[in-house]
Amino acid sequence: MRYSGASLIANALSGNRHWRQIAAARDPRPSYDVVIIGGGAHGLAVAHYLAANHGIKNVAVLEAGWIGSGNTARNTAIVRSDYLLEASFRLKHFALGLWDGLAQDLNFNVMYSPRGYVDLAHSDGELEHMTLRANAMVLRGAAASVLDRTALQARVPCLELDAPSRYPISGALVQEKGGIVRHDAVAWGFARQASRRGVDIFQNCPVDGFEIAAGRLQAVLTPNGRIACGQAVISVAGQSAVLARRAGFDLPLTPINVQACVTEPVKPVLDCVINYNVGLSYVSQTDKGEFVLGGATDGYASQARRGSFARLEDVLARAAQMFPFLSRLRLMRHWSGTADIAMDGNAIIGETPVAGLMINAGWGYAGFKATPAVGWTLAERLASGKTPDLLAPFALERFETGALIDDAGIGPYPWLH
Amino acid sequence: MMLIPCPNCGPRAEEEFAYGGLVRDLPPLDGAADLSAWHRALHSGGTAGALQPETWYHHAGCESWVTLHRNLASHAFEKAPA
Repeated sequence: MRYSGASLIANALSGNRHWRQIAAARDPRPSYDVVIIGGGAHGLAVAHYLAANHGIKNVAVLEAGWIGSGNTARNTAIVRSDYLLEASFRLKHFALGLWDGLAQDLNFNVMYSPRGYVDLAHSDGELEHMTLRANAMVLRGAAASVLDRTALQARVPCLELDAPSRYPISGALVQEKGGIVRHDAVAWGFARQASRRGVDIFQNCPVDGFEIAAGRLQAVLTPNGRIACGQAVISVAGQSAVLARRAGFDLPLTPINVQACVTEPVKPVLDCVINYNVGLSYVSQTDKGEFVLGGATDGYASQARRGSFARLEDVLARAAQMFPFLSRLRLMRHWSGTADIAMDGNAIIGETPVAGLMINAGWGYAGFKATPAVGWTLAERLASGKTPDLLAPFALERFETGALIDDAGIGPYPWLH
Repeated sequence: MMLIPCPNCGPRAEEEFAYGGLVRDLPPLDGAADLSAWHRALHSGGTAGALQPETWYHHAGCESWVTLHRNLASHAFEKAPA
């Protein structure tokens, strides 16, 4: 059933008893063409585009918890494509184009709000680097602008620019197409369309291991039994290295804790997403009025999904520097997720040493914005057997060959995150 | 909030330390070394979920690099496995 005004009225009149489940429960088949491990937004997007773009519907998604319960629900919902290096920019900018029409494509309101992404510079040198980034974006066909202090104050009137501070603000890079998307709706929207086309989605179904013969994947092993498959994708964010080891190979990833929090709701005052760049503190205000705040990683390896107060204090101090009125708000919720981060800070997508087993990992705390692009291109890879140009730079072997793509565009340093 | 047991100074707050990451055993790069072995040693993550040997720099204390074993799932520092 399509969601529409008419379906809303019809269901209201019949007591809301006839809404269909987003992901209907079905019995598992003994074998699938493609098994996707991880029912987050990335995995569900792959399933959706496999069915919608390539007609491959004999697909199962295996989720250890419930769909969208991992990093999909823990990110701060920001989408943007203001990257310097070509590989990073192209994939995320392709995603930004898809976000634009996604609510119509999925017949599900994902609430994409292109309210503008404002990235603050704290020195003339940093503003110069942002100008370089903006120019690179414009040359590749995106819109970006660099604001000086006066223009920035006009764009974000409530931003505190004049109080004395350790890191004064000297300007900003602004991408007006950037913004926020309702992250839960993205998982549900992809799941609903995939399920409607025949994809089976199994929740509470972890993967214990793999059956591999002569270097080729035969089946995925779960507590509910063995599922034979032609191909499989590991798309499990913070658990990637654990699962890869069960398939017999190592991933160059470190799991690190990332925190976010949300304040009590207040009247609208901030109409963009804004990022304080020294130490990171990114802030936006939801439609309900809550401020969503996130920051850098906790800085050390962890799989505890439990944050340190040191980092939280850091994030809040920077947010209060930008918006002193925030210091009077109470935090309502605070949470953590495990990000898997490679030395160059970028994702790993494509083949693994096991034939037939693909990987989509290493997104760290920057993966949400790329969701539809990952789904689109990885589905193309699975269907055609050829690696799309957008994905080629993200291959696992780049660590061996030295073709790293540092996420920040400042050089291949192992301490990027 | 972690209390890190510095062998020189005793238990101290995590803010006093900088993280040095996983202790890596890198084979020598003197021509004879197998490059793929070196790549694995340099890039691979730790043994997820298990005790991980790592280095910390105690900048607000003894100013030395110390090696400690920590459980990534619980953040508990434990004795080095024999």
